[in-house]
Amino acid sequence: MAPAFPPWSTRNMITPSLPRKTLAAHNLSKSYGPVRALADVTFDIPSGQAVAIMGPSGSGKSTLLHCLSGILVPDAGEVSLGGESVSGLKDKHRSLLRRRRFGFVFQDGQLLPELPARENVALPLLLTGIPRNRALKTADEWLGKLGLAGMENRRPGELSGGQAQRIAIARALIHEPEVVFADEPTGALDQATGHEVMQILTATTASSGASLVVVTHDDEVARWCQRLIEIRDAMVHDDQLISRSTR
Amino acid sequence: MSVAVTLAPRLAIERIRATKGAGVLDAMAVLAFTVSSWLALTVAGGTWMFFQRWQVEGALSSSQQSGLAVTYVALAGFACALLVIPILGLGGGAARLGARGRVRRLASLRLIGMTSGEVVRISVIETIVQSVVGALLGSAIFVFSLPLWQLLSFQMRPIGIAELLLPWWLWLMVIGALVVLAMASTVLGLRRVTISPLGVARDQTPRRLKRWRLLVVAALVIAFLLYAQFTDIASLIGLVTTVGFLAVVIGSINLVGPWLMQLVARPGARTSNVARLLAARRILDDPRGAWRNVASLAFLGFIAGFVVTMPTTTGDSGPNTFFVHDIQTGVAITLALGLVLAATATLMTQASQVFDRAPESIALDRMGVPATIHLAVRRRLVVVPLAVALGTSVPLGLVLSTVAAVQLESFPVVGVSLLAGTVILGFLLSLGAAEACRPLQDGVLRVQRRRND
Repeated sequence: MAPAFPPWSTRNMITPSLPRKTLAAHNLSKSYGPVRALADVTFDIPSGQAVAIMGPSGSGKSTLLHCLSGILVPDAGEVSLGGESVSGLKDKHRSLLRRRRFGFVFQDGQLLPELPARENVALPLLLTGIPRNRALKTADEWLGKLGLAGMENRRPGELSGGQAQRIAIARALIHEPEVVFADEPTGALDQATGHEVMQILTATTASSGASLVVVTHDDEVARWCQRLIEIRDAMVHDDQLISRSTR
Repeated sequence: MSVAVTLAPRLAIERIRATKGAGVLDAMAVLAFTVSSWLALTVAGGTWMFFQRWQVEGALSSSQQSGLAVTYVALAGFACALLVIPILGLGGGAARLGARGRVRRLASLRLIGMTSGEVVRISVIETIVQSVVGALLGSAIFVFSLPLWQLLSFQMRPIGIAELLLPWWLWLMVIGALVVLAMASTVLGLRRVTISPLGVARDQTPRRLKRWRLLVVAALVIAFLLYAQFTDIASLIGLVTTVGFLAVVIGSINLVGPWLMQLVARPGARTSNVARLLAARRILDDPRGAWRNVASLAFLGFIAGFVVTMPTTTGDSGPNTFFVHDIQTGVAITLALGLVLAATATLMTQASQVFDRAPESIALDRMGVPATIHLAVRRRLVVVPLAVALGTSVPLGLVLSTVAAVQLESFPVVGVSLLAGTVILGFLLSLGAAEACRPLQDGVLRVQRRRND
C-alpha cells in the first residue's frame, strides 16, 4: 500500500498515492569536449537504498550524480525514475522534478546567508506554494528532529560547519523527496563531525523512505551506505553491497 | 621590477581573455570609469565654458548678460557640486566591483606566499589600468559627443565646441582626481577585508537601525523651515547660511534612508513569496548598502522636487527671460546626467552581485529553483529601494522649495514635467539595468564547471 503523506506533502501534488520508485541509469555517456567523463554506465538504485559513488579525482563521479539528478543531460543513454525518463524531460520539467521529488546536500551546505535557519529549511516548501506559517512549522519540526531546536533564527554565519550541514539535510528532506543526492557532504568537515553528519543523513533518509546517493572519495563516508559503486575511467569499475559488519 | 608590477597585468589580461566571471566584471569596471570620466569632463567643460564667457570681455552680447555671467559660473559650479558625489561614487564603486571574487583570488596569492603589501599593490595596479583605460574611452566619448551640445544654447548663444574643450591641465586634474579616488577606494576596500574577512559576506544577523535617525531628520527639516522663515535670503550672509543649512538637510537624507529601507523591507520578510522574501532579507541584511545604491537617485529626486515651483516665465518680454530658460535647461541637463550615472551604478551593483552570489545561485538552480526567481529578486532589489528613495526625496524637495516662496502664476508645467521625467526615467533605467544583468545570470547558471570528479 502506498505510504500516506501529510496533507501539505509536495508528493501529493506530483505523484498522489504512488509508491517510491527506482532510479535507473541506462548506458549513460557524457563527454566534456575530448574528455570522457562517463562511458556506458548502467545500474539501478532501488527505492530506499543508500548508495555511495566513489572514485579517484576525475573519474566521473560528480558528473554521474549530475546526470542522475537531471542537472546535466547525458550525451547518450537515459536516466529514469520509476520507468519515466528524467533525462528526456525539458529543462523546465527537470527543474520541477528536482524541486519536488529530489533533495540536495552540497559539500559546504550552500545555505542562503541572508536567511535564518528555519527559512533556509522551509525554502523548498515555500517554492511549491505552501503557506509560510505551515512551511515554517514543518521546518521547526525538522530542526528539532536534527537536534537544532533553539537555533531556528540563527543565520548560517552563526552556525558551526556541522550544524550548517544538518540544516542542509533538513532542507533536502523537508519536502519528502524520493531521492536525496549528496555531493561530498562531509568534504568541508572534520572527521568526527563528518561521521555525525553521515549518521544523521543516512538515518533521516532511511526513516523517510527516500533513496540516498552520496558522492564521496572517503571510505569512511561510503561505509555508512548499503551499496558502493566505484567509478574509474568513466566506467563502473565495481558495484557491491556493503555488509553490515563492514559498516 | 616587483612581482606585483609583472603579475598584475598578466592576471588582468588572462581574466579578460576568459570573458567569463571576473573578466566581465573587469569590463564592467572599465565601463563605469568610462561613464564617470565622460560625465566629469562634460560637467567640467560646461563650467569652463561659463567661466570663459565671464572672463573674456565682449563674449556676451548685452550688458545684462554680462552682469549675470558670474551667476552662471556659480550655478554651473553648483551643478558640478551636485554631480561630483555620484560621479566619484561611481568611480569608487567600480574599484570595489566584485569584491568577493577579488578577495578569493587575492587570498590564493597570499597562500602561495605573496605578502599583503604585494597583494594590495596588485589590486591598485589593476584599478589604475582599468581607470586609465576608462578615462581614455571617456575622453573619446566626451570629444565625440561635443557636436551634440551645439543644439543647446545658453545666454542666448549656442554652445560652441571649442568652448567646452578643456585645457590639458584641467583635463589632467579631472582624470587624475578620478584615478586617485579609485586607488583610494581599492586600498580602503581591501583594508576592510583584511580586518574582517567576513566583512564582505554578511552571514550574521544584522543589527536593527534605530528610530532616532528619523527624529533627527524631522527636527532638521522643521528647524530649516523655521530658520528660512526668519532669515533674509536676499542678504549675502542670509543666502550663504540658508544654502549651507539646506545642504545639511539634504545630506541628512542619507541618515534616514537606510532606516526607511529597513522599515519598508520588514513586511517582505514575513511573506510566502520566495522572490519577495529573498529581496526583503537582502535589503534587511544591508540596509545601508541598499540605500547607497540609490542615494544618487534620491539626490536627483530631491532636485526635481525642489525645482517644481521654479518660475517658468517672467513674462513674454521680461528682461530675464533667457535666464529662466537657461536655468530650466541647466536643471534638465543635471538631471539627465545624474540619471545616466545612477543607471550605470545600478548596472554595476547588480552585475557585481550576480557574480558575488554565483555559488548560492548555482546551488538553488541545482535544487530546481526556476531562473526567473533570480530576475524577480533583482527587480525587487532595484524597485523597492528606488521607491523608498524617490518617495522620501521628492516630497522633501517639494517641502523645502517652499522657502523659495515663488508666487506661481500658472501650473508649473516645466517643473512637473522634469519631476515626472526624472521619476519615470529613474525607474525605467534602473529596471533596464537590472534586466541587462539577465545574460550574466544565465551565463553563471549555464557554466557547468567540470569539477574534480
